[in-house]
Amino acid sequence: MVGVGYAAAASYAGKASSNGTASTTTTATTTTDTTTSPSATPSTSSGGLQATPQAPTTGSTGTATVTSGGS
Amino acid sequence: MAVALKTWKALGTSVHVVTTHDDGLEPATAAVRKVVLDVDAAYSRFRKDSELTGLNASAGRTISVSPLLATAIEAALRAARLTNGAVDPTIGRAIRLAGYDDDFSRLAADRGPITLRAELVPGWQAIRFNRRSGTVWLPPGVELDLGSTGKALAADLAATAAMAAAGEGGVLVSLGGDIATAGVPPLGGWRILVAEDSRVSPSGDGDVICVPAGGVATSSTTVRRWSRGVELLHHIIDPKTSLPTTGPFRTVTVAAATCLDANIASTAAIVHGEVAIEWLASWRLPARLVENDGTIHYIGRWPDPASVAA
Repeated sequence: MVGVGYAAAASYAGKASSNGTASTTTTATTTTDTTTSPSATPSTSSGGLQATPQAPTTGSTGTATVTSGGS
Repeated sequence: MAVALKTWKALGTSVHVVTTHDDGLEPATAAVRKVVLDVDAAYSRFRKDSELTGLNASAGRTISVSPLLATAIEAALRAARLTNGAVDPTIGRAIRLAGYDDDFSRLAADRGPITLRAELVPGWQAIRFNRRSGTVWLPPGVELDLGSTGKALAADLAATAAMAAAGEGGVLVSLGGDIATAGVPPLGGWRILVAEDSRVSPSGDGDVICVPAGGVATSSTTVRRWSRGVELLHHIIDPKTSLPTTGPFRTVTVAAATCLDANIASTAAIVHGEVAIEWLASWRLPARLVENDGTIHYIGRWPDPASVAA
């Protein structure tokens, strides 16, 4: 997860939009396929769904247990 | 190894940050808060000033988007591709017409009956996305909803940012039950109570698992439900019908290398319905599925409490 996650964060680090609104470009883009940059990250752009090397194990409740559920 | 925990409300749900070192909690929390704020501004469907709202209002034109929104769209398109369209970001109009058109906390209990028509959503292939130029073109009438992937992606980004800020040890970030981890876990792994509703107390009854790394996500049709007349609707839309899913599984939890992958799989499993178990097994992902009648299935390397007890 770490390697993939850091790559995703690197992609996000360049966030620049200050007003949060999308802007219209003045030049038409004719790209019709989904394309990725050379630095595109595995977690968001390519590769299959990845399992962790170590499987989950049975645990018990204790300090700082968190809940995974629908929201 | 000691752990420290911070909790607050954001993105219409609860945020939890856990660190293995007390000193890391404050900087990790600050990092997560920033990611959450950025995500909300970039791809909230309910903020009039979000980038996503602007993009949806600009269908038919090529739009430049921020790197964060581009990352989110890229993740959504990957999800659609890997699930054969079961998790499709072009459900935006469908979920809005189904009545989920505002922050869930502001949805009225019942705004009267509605008539919904079964039809295919426009489909993710219709989106023209260029990662290199950071531009997006949506066909007229198409609205994106990044809800199926956006929160999980945010959890991954937040965990990474929190780990960098904490500097040592490990961190866990939960955004409404979508859980991402980074760094060195506590002894035995991160303890996670698996429930159908993320609001269930962590000290409550239920299956508890420990994960050493990666992410865990749960998708459920038992939460974010609303009534329209006699119809009880929920937020997981089947792209083949534009309607809430009606399959045999009400809740699916998946563990994966990232929270994003876990959530893609859990949501797709709900949509895939009858073939969900076979589909999850093909990806070799540990999973826990709850049928509508409460029967629980443990898939792959997911720990079966019964076998442990035996």
